[in-house]
Amino acid sequence: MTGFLREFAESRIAAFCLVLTLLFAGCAVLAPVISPMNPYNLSAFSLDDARLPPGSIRMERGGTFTATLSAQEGVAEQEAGEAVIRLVEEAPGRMSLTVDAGGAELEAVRIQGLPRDASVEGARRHPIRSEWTVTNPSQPIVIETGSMTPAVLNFTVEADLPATATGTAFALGTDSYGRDMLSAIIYGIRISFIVGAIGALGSMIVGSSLGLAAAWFGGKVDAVIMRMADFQLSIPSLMVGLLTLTILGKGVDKILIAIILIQWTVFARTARSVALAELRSDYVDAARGLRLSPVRINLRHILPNCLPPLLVILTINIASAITLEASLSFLGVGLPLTQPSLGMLIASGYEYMFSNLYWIAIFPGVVLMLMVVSINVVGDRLRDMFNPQLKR
Amino acid sequence: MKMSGAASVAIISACAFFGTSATAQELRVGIAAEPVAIDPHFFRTGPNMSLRENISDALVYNNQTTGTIEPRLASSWEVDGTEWRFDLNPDAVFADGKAVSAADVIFSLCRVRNVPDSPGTFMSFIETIEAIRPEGERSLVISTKGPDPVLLESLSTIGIVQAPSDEPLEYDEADCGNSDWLSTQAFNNGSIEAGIGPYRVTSYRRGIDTVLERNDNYYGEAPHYQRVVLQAIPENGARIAALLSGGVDVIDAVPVNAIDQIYDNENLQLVSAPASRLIFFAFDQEGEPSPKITGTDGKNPLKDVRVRKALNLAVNRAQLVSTTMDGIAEEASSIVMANIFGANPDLPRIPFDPAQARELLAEAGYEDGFTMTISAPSDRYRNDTEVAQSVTQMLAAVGIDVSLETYPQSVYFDRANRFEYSMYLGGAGADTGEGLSQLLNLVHTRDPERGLGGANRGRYSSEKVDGLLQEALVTLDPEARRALLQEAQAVVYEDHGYMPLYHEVAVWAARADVHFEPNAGQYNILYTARPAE
Repeated sequence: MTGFLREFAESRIAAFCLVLTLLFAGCAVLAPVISPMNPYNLSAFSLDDARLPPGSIRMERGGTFTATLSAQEGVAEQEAGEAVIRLVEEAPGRMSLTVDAGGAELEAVRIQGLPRDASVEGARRHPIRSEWTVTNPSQPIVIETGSMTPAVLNFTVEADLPATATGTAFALGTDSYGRDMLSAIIYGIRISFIVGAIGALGSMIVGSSLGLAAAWFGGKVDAVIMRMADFQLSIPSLMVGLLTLTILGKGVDKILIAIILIQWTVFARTARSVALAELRSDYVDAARGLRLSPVRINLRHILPNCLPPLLVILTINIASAITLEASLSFLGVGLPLTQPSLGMLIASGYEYMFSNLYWIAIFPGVVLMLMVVSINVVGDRLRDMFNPQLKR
Repeated sequence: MKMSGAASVAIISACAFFGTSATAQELRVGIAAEPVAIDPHFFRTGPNMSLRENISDALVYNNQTTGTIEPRLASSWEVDGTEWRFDLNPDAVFADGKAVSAADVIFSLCRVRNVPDSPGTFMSFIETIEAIRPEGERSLVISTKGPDPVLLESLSTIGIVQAPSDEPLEYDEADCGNSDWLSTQAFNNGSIEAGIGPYRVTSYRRGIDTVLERNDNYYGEAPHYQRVVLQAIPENGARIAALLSGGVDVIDAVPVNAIDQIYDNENLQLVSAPASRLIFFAFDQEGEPSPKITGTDGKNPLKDVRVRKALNLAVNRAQLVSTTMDGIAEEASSIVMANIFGANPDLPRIPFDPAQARELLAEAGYEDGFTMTISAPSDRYRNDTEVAQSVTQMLAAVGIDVSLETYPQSVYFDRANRFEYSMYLGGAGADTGEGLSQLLNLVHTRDPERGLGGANRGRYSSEKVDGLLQEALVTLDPEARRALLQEAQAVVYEDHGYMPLYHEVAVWAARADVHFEPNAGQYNILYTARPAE
């Protein structure tokens, strides 16, 4: 075993990728322990935290005062809880608004429902609605309504008290539902890894059994199985996946079925070709002479000799199963929305690329890429080691 | 970021340099959904009706922004009980110079029932018409089966095409004794004009573009632009990129998350109008057990008004609108939007009160909640999946074990029609620009035979509401009708028959030097577009 590892580590890159792969596997196993929050628990996150950039700290909202004012000739006063909101006319068309929250500082004041031609000093107007937001307002807030003060002015004022920081931080930001990206990615790795590994293992079991059967029986059985594989290979794999999931519906189990349906062919072909070579060996003849059962000959004698190439294909197919799952989830037919895999995280982030919210798509994208690349490199290294022609 | 800013400036200036010759007389519009036919009677769907408004005038125009009916081909009309008399505008002429006649109107209204292979007909708009008789060439009388207060709104959706023969047909509810109905294909390849409109279609290429030329013989105010090119750009990102790069002058259906970027760009402007379409969740109030609910011993908790109220109280609409929709929507507590005929201003906002929601659930016997999967389309309404997931989150916060499933619209509505959902996201607008059609569609007891409750797939049913709506159907006095619609909504509000979320806001983005008018029906009105002063 140590000899094997030493030989494997002769390629530094492969060794590094093996470490990465093991790290991802660790993430998959330990996700509930290491992730800061549970992204599947819908009540654990809130829209208050939506779309925060990486490094943000979760804030506990302060209170909000809301009051609807109806100003006569630019003058109004309204109580809202412990706060008093006052509007005073300073000059024609110019009024000043004071929000007195018992001396407390305010974080933001939103003024809604002013006429279209009004303006609020130092405020950002909402692109569509009649809503002005003043952040960290210096009081009083000046409202201008052109040259005249309207006789009646109705509007709503919402004043936010400062939010207080909590201990939770979002290292990689949050997505549009206020879900912590780091936790979502760790759970995404878990799903991707499990789906990839079980999917590829399942295809290996199904594929190699069919391949061995084809080689052993030959004739019609061989023809039927191999033509099925040819037929399958002529359909693009993504299409097989889309079709399967459209018919069966969403869910991890259905994705696994789709992956096995797509990947069994490679295993079947490899197992058959290696087994055909082995069937001509003397030890198989010897086993036949002993009248051992075909199942026993296949499983105990032929299969072990077919394993090295199959294992190499297995590692590479884990990577391609992960990609397949991500593609299907990206297309929206994969897993349920509330249990995001990496592909789905990328898909929902893709929507926000135009708004410069890069972190929602980039981080899961990078993780997916690293995972697929490292598994592929490990697979490649294994192939090189098992291929006698490449041995020095 | 710096890179992309510099790159887009370079692209914009390059396009400005090459594109100037075309801009003065040409308007290029990037549209999210293209019309599937030029034929004005072929398919009752947004993009087709939007194009129809520009190329094939109806008898009247329904101005949803001001709530008034304006004359078009009919220059005046009067009503006496069930008899409507229309006088046609003698200046309105077809491409061959012939003025529109009663024969054309009768032919067009007959054709609505007889369009070959129509995937969705305008039939329900002419359902109430009993007979049409011409009175000379330039006037006609339409008689309805009973008093029809919304006949004008209905007629405003049907473009008038030129009849092949001058002899008026005998109107009936079948084929009007005619067999030549003008094929949709002939409209699409340009061998037949779609009618009389400010623009005429000169080229129509599916999936690429539709080119319109100004109709110089138009009887109304002439549009400014000589040519309008409607480019189909269904992909959101590509449509915005086309606008940013100067490839198009106007785009429709601006996605929520691009609003800020366009707002901050001083070469561009946003144009918006509140749209009547309500986005809601409907509750299954018929199934027992309900298909997507478990953990209730076979009972359907949604039949209990306390549970429906609890779910309504659990949703924070203000946050949904401000965060998920980025403020591009108006909170809704009832079906009909505030400035639409029939809205009920007396219904208070549905408060956000998770504590009371939990209490109500406990009172109804669901202290520990229940397990429910809610359903939503993934490509039908703006931000539909995000909205559904936000609501899922809010329901989970009051203790319901809830998950979400989404389907593409091709599958989604079929399943909804087979009642496979317990709580599903939907949308329905005021087609005719007033509240009655929307209420009949959403809250009337479902009766497909009579075309009632078509969108009421949760099967909310209240005798009282049905009675009020039936009465409104035959009440001509506007104030009395308004009161009936308001009362019907008050009943639904008390019953918590629906979970209204918000009314959509239609948003266009245009170059700052183009004046483009928004339309509450989400139509692209091209004939009022002009360079901004």
